[in-house]
Formats: sequence, structure tokens, C-alpha cells
Amino acid sequence: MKRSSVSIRWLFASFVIIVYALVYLPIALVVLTSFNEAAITALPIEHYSLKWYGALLENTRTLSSLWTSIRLGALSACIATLIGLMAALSVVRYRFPGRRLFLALMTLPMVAPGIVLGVSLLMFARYAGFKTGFTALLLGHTLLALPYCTFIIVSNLARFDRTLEDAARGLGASEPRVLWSVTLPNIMPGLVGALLFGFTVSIGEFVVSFFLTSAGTTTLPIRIYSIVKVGITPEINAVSTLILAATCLLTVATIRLTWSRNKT
Amino acid sequence: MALMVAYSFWSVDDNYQLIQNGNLDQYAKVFENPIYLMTLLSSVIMALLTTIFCVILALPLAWFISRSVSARWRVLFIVGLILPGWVSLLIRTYSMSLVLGEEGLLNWSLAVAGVTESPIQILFTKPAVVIGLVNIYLPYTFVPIYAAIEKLDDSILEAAENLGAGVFRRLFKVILPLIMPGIVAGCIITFIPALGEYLVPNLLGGLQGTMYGNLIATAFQGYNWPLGSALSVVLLLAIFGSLFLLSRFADVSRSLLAEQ
Repeated sequence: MKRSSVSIRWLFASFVIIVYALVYLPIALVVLTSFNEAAITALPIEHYSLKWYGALLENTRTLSSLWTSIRLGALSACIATLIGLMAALSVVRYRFPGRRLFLALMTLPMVAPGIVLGVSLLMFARYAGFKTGFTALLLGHTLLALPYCTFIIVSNLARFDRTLEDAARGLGASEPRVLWSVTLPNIMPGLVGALLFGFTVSIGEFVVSFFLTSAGTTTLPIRIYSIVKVGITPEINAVSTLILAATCLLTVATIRLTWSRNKT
Repeated sequence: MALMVAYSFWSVDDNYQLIQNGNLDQYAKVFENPIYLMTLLSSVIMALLTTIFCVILALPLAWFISRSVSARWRVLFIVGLILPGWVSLLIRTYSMSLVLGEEGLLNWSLAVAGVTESPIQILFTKPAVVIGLVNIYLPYTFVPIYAAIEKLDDSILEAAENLGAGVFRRLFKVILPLIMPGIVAGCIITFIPALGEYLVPNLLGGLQGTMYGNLIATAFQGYNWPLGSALSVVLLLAIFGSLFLLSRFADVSRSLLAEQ
């Protein structure tokens, strides 16, 4: 690349800018039109206002689905982090047969098509005898968040210096105490990262939820979908803008938490 | 946990057999009705197109970011590209229709620029689905390719240059073979979810751009679970089949490139 001329560099740079613009353009449009006072979701925007955010606050159905999504996200993130922690501990610490297979199977929810995962979970729920609704959703979302949570914790655990544990043991600490006072505080960024990430995965999930919702429990994405199917409204863009902001904040926080140790 | 995943897949077959008493009627239906296979074929084509476009975009992008951007800015560039990947798929998909729709940004700008007189129909066609898929899966393709390019040793390139290899020779004989594993990983990670995509064709494809995932959903919504299961199993087989083909192809191309 040393000999490459300035013009090629500029060509490259403008290409990169165009790609970024294309990736962000649709999202920017959602955000922009949510501030449009008129009830159309198209350009040009004549008056900016927060009208649709106000309307959102009065929409009880959207609000209740938001509440469902938050509860679901928080619970599934906690469960997934807990199971992920146990899985990570066993995978990093012990060399048991089928360890690689275990990790490979773990990634299945990440790579399997959402639709297949959704319908198979629906069948599983029916087979195991629980109804679609909150419990089924919780199961599905936990399953989806689990691989991400596990891998975040695994990467943290792999970097953790185990001699610290030996030192604690040498000083007479019991095994639970070693785990609680030495190991867990040291991998805390990973745990918080896993929690946040699990929440992010859950809050944005649609396809799997689509098959597991019941009439009474709708998550926010399901609610958005049912409105968008009929027509995109500025109010929905307002909800989406809020979700976008929340997701970006959560993801950036996760990245900071999991990467900060890497650098120092 | 692994048990639960295994279980969820196992129940597809199990439930299917439970109702069907283990005969192959549903599979016969899948293979006899041309609609299913045609849709599968067009889904494969759409997913392939998506993958190709993603790679074409991701390669120069990754090259530029890893070679021409200073280390400080690099993180920002990468996060900037990956971040949309974590944003709700639903929002990203329907936001595409704001761009492609009849009153969308594209038609608006075309009209303003005076290129077209009446809005062109892009939304609810196959190109719309592919555009949507490329937009959504680009971060997925980018990450493995970037990782491969980042690992590329500059001294090898310098060696090739010193030995008199031109730009194209370096690109095809040195760079591409070395980053091929990354490209293949990027293809796989893009192709699989794109093939089974449900939401994007649902919102952007309309009737014309229906993909295979939509057929599965329709079967399940119509309470024809056995048929839906058979369709799902065929999809999974198609995915494994194409994975197999892709890995074979990658090996072949690598050895071809190496031997020349």
C-alpha cells in the first residue's frame, strides 16, 4: 500500500463513507421522521415537534408491551447470565470430553434461522405442556441470549489470573468464599456485560417472540410489527427511536466493559 | 443447556412423527408441489446474491479500515459498523421501507433530481429483499473478513512486492488466498441467516419476494404443523448442504489459487 497514490486512498475513503451512509440512512430516516409534526413518514419535514412522543405516553397498549419487553429482557438476561456463568466456569476450568462440541452446540441459537428456532420452541412448549405467553417467551429469549452471555463471560474468565484463587485458598478461604470474593469480583465487567447484552438481545428480538406470544402478552417488537404491517406511523418511529437510543447506549456500555480490561 | 437446544430441534422430528406415525407424506407434499421448491430455489438465489454483495462491500471496507485508518479511529469505525447489527432487526427492516417505498427517500430524491416522473416500484419486489438483506447482514460479513485482513502480515506483501509481483498478482496470489478463511466464514455467517430469513421478505418482499421462511410461518399459522416441520427440516438440510458445498468450494478455490 506504500506506493498507492493519494487518489486511490480518496477513492477508498469515499467508498467507505458511502457504505456507512447506506447503513445508517434508513435508521436516520426513522429518527428524523419521528420528529415530524405531520402524520406522514416521508421527507421533506416542515415542522419539528415532540408531538408523537407525547402521543406515545398516552398509548396504553404500546406502553404495556414496553413493560412486558423490559420485564422479559431483565429476567431472561439474569437467567442467561447465571447459566452462562456456570457453563463458562465448567468450560474454562475443566477439560471434559465433548467440550468443543458443547461450545459448538452453544452457538446453535446464534446461527440457526430464527424461524426454525421459533417454531421448534413453539413445538417444544406445546410438547412440554406450557402455554404460549410469558413463560414460553422467557424460555425462548433466555435461549437466544445464552450463547452471547456465555462467550462474554468465557472471554473474561480466560483472562483472569487463577493464581489469585490459589492465593486465597492458601490463606484459608473456602471454595464458595473464593468464588464469591475473588473470582466473581474479578470477572464483574464480564458479568455486567453479559447482563446488558442479554437485555439488548431480548429487547430487539422479533421472530422467535412472534411464535411464542399469546394474545395477552405482546412484546414491543410484536406491537411495532402489528402496526407497521398496516402502515408506518410517526408514533411508531418515535418508539423505535427510543429503542434505538437504548440499544446503542447498552451496546456501547457492554463494549466498554468487556474491552476496557483488554487494553490495560 | 446443550440438551435444551438439542431438545428443541429434536422435538421437530418427534412431534412430526407423533402426528404422522412416521410416514413421509409431508415430505412428498413438499417435493411434489412446485411452489415449495421454487421458493426454496429463489431463496437460495437471493441469499447468494446477498452474500456476494456483502463480500464485495466488506472486502474493500475492511482493507481500508485495517490499513489506512489510525489505531485510534479504527475502533470507532468498527463499532460504527457493528452497532447497527445489534439494533432490533425489526426496526432496521421496516426502516428500509421508508427508503424504498413509493413515497420513500429514494423515490423522493429521484423525483427531486428529475430522473423519474412517477415513483418506481421497488418495495415488495425481490431486489428490495436483497437490498434489505445486504443492509442488515453487512456487519456479519465484515467482522470475519476484517479479522483475517487485520492478521495479514505486511512483510509477506512487501516480500511479494520486492519479488516483482504487480498489484493484481499480489491481490490474487497472496492476499486473497491468505484471507480466504475469513471470507468463507463471512459468507457462511451471512448466507445461513439470510436463507432462513422471515422478517425481511415479510416486510419488504410482498408477494413477489416471498422467501422460504415465510412458507414455514404460513404453514404454522395455518396449524399445519407437520407440513411446517417438514419444510423446516428441508430448510435445515438445505443449509447444511450449502455449508458443505461452500466449504468444498472454498477448499477447491484455495488449492487452485495456490497451485497456479
